Amino acid sequence: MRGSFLSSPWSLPLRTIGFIGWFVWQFIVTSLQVVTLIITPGRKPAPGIVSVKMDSLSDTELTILIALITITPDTLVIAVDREKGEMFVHGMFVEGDAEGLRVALRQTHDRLIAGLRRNPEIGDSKGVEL
Amino acid sequence: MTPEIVSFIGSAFMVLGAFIIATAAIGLIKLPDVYTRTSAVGTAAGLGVSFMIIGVVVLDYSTLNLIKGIIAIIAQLITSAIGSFMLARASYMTGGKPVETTVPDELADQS
Repeated sequence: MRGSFLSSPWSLPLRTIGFIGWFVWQFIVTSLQVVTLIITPGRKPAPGIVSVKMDSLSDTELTILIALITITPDTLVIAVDREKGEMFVHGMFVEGDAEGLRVALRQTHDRLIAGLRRNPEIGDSKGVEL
Repeated sequence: MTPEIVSFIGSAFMVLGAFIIATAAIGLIKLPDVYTRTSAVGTAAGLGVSFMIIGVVVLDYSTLNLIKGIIAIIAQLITSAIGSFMLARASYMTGGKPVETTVPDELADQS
């Protein structure tokens, strides 16, 4: 029953609050990572640009996702290709590990959907229209 | 809580916020290219401003100030995110190259 409650429309406020809490935590952690990078003498960032598939998002969800990715200090959206459903994300701590950043961004994407949609498990391709 | 503790916590938040903003200023000189500068400085400064607002709200607490503080933090973060995105996009469209240690660069591979 718990699983079905978490995927029902009634748990939406809980899921939204959970997502906001998780995001604030991520924001503080990555900010402190960037601060330590800057104040450590001689340390250089290891940036990289990866492409991420972002299909099945409505306009509203895509805008929120871009804003959230850019708010976290270590990642930054540079360009979005709406036709291919693809975005290019610049990361500060990639160190050659493109797949790691892609997995982390995919996780943000999935958590955003769980925190925003009324029925997150149906996975319809249209998304919510707010 | 006694006024001393409240004033200590509020001042600590403000000093921490000032420290983070100072760090962002150092980063502006230290980081190698426009993309790392935008992503680090644009929003690390956002955390600094948020800490200062929290400090001010703690020092001068009232419900109205709390609401104003929350609105100020949200507005600050959203505008700095959109600003950072616009700067990065403008820089990419005018041919700004990322620093050579950027590995992988899938945007350059594609075009």
